[in-house]
Amino acid sequence: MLELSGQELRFYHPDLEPWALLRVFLVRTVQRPENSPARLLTSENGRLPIRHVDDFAEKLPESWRERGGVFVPLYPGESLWIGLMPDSDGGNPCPYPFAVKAGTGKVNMLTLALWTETLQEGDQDYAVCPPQHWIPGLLGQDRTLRQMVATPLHSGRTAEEALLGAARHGGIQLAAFPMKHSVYRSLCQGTSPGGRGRISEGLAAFGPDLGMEWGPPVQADILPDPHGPSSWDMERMNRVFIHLADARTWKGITGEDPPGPLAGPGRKGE
Amino acid sequence: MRNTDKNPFGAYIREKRESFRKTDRSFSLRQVAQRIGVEPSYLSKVERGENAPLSEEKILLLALELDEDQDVLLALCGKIGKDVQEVIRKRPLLFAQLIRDLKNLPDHAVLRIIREVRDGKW
Repeated sequence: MLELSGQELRFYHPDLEPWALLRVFLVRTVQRPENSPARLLTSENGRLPIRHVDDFAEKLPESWRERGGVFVPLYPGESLWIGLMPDSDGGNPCPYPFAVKAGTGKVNMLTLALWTETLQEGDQDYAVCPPQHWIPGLLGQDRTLRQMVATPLHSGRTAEEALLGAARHGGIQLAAFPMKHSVYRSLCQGTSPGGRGRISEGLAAFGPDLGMEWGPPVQADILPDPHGPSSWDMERMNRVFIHLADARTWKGITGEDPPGPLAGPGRKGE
Repeated sequence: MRNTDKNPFGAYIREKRESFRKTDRSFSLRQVAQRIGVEPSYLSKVERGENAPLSEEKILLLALELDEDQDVLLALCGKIGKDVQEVIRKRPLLFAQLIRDLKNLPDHAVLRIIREVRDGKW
């Protein structure tokens, strides 16, 4: 199942284990100037608020209602990254792993291939959490990972328009696959609450319609799947469409003040 | 029958107030009554379970005084907060049915009721 809790999405499979939970949140950040050195993106600007499309259906486009899901506010020119956090409440030494696919405009963020809901061997088109704790950006056409930057759909600048020649979807797409329970059991044999397990090592606390275009390079990697594609439970996949609302329309839609715009050198599209 | 059975609200607030008064004399009947804006004799009647209804506003003030949950005190008086009433009034059929459906569920099951994110066609 997939629920919205505060400012995070929770992919949850209590039928597998009570802690088979992946928390996903969106963190906005400024777009780095193109000529600045590649660097890690920080989280100082906070998580974005997330709302159900169904709660504001009468104020949203028909295409959003049809897709369902959730929406977030973002100003054109602002960037975001996707945070992934397994459930490690109570010091669980063996958090339940998930494979996560992410797309924008139904283009896979990590391969630029068309969106699919299977996991690809070879050119890995998904991230595995843990150990991966974020999806920092979008693969560039030069095959370097780049910041993803909000830009108006139909502007001609979104990755979707550049690659597919049309602006049909926009937004962000996510799909999460829990590990097969049998694989998890053998992986976590011998661990017990309070101890430390193999896959928890290296876990660190970290802590109208837009699409995404490429920004400057980011210094980050997508870690290879340590378990292999056959480890994931395809039957239990959950997915969500995250619509990107221009933050200037947020108050008119939700009645709430949007987060203030970030001061950054790269804002554009206004 | 014990007084708490006949008068759960009055007995509850008296016990709570008296327990505070042991260490803080400002929790005397007179001073608490003053702070919530009623006569001491009236609050005394409330505590004894005599015919002395308190308005929602006074109950909420009393909850703040006694560091109690406002909804719990309202429920002990047989009342529901105006904000909750408003929620039900907006969708009476839905919430009435929901509450009936939930009445026998254990607390942990009620707490686990979640709303899933709807996935549409894309």
